[in-house]
Amino acid sequence: MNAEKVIFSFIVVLALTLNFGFFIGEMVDPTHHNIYELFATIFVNFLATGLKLGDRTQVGAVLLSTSLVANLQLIAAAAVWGYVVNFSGTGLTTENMSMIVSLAGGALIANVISVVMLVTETLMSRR
Amino acid sequence: MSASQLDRVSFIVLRHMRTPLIILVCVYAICILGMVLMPGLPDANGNTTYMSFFHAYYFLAYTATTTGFGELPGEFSNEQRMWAVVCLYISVVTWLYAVGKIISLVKNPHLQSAIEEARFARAVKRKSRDFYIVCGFGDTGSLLIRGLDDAGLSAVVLEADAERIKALELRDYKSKVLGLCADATVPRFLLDAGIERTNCVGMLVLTSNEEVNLKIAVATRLLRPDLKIICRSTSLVNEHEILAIGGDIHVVDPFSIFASYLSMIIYNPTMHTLNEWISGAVGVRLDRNICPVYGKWILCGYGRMGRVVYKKLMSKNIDVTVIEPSVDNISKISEHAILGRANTETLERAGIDEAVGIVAGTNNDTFNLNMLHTANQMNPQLFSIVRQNNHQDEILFEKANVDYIMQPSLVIARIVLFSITAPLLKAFFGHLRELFIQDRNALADIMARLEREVGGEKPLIKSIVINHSSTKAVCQHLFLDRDVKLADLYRDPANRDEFLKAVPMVHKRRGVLTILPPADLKLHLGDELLFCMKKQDKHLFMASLNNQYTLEYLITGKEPARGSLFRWLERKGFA
Repeated sequence: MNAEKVIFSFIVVLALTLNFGFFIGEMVDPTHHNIYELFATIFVNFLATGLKLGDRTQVGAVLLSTSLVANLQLIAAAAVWGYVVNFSGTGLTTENMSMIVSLAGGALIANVISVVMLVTETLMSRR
Repeated sequence: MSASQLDRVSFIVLRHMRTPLIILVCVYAICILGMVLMPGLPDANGNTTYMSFFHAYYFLAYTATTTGFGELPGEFSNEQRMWAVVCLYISVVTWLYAVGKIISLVKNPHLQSAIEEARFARAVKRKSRDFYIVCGFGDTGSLLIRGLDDAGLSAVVLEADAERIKALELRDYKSKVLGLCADATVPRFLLDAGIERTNCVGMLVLTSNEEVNLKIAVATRLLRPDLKIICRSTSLVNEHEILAIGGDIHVVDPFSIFASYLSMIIYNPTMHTLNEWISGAVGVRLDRNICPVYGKWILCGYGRMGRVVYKKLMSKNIDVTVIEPSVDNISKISEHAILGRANTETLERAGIDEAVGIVAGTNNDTFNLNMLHTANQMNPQLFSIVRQNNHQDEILFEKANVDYIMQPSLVIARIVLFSITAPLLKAFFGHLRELFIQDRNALADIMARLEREVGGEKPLIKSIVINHSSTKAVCQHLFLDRDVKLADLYRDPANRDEFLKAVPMVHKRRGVLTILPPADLKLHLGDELLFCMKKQDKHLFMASLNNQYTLEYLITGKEPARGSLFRWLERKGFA
């Protein structure tokens, strides 16, 4: 067992699980999507990106790019949330909520790819 | 496409289309002008109207091509209708004439071959991978291309027989093999095949015509002084002439190679089995016990190949009796020869009862099969070796009760293939041949090692060079001044105390060859290595050589940190 492997896998899987937790629920219902969960998802995703930096293999490069995609989508979701509540004043209408959740859904896919690659690589090395 | 080819195609098209084009232009001009001049129906003010040039052209366009939309843009006057009839007949006939010309042009064989050539040259030009030019797509050529394709190498083919090129197009190769039906002795076709391109890495001349082979080899050397040439030749005179061309040139003589293979089965079956095993012949394993068949042999056929076999066997002190129908051929060896075709009577005289084996080596498959059948009836204990000349007769030979079938085309294809994919293999076999004479126990040890550490059927022969493109991770380690030992390369990535099923056969550094290099040999940049390994292990092996983390684990036994953060922590001594 190797400390890097444990921490790395923990963070990557946590990023996925938090993202899923935020995404699940009635799409247009703001009470089903907790803002603190979105915050945690963004934080853990950034952490995962940081851990992925510096791996010089091909797999490492793809892992990093999936993380970047997830970050981009989640930031966009957070930006929409902030804008509709604080600036435009429309609040969390059904249209706005569905936009936020669908952006988080895209990030979820990127996180799934990341975890699948992590598992595959671990199985391939057979150690 | 070069300028000359484009010129050729456009020249043929223009020359054929000149007359119909001129006639068409004239007819259109007359018809349009007539239509414009014909007075039409009067307009609302009673003035005679005339058709514009545009409308006249429009009318003619649909009339001449027999589309016939009717009277457009408005109703015609009788004068216009009269002229329309004239237009219709002459323009339709002219159109039919022009179309007929176009069809005959498309069917013109010269144009077709010019287009084929241009298309081939363009496709070759687009090739980005290294490729070989193969001249001659006979039995040997097609087996060789199959082998090259399996090894992931690319080739283009020049073949004079149109039927063979059609056969090439129907093969299911992994990557498309380009072929052109052309006489390779014409230098222009060699240029089409990309001989001057830097990614053309070799010329394989395999036609069955000696003169042609020589000519291609000479032309190749003049066009590309540095190119590797492998040339087939069956006569000694020709061979000397080809070798005199100089540069990186190799001659393969199917008869002498075939004869050495054949004699190897008889006096050195161990080596022959190893050879077959490395070549990946079906059902060949190293763990079978093979004994040489010593005793009296009968050789049927004393032509070009029979002569070489006879000489080889005689030099190994094997008793041979020849059966040959031509008097001239056997005049020099009359005490060891019997005149006549191989039949019950001649086989009897050759002493088939006390013979241990028979070689049916004529260049006629029917004779070979027939004489084996006769011989087997007379002495069922015989060890029989037969020469199969035609690849298509495979089914018959499999049914015949034969101990060993040899195909010259297959043997040549293998030799050429190995000289391309694994040039170090020759040195390995040279070493084994020496051992066979000096120390047979050492030879047996090598066989045992290959069986123990690789084993099974159809091993993979893999050449690697320690450089940036093929073994990135190894180079990175060498740059950091860390030692990489030979054994580290083929440790099992799942458990470094175990090894992959692989044996390093030859190591080459600055021209110095080491056969079966020791496991603790320290590798340098630019070293060449030849491995014999199980096919399944190839991907793991190549992955270890290119993934620095896996390689570091194999060398040190420790899993290195991958991310920058953990590397930093590791340096600080935290993890």
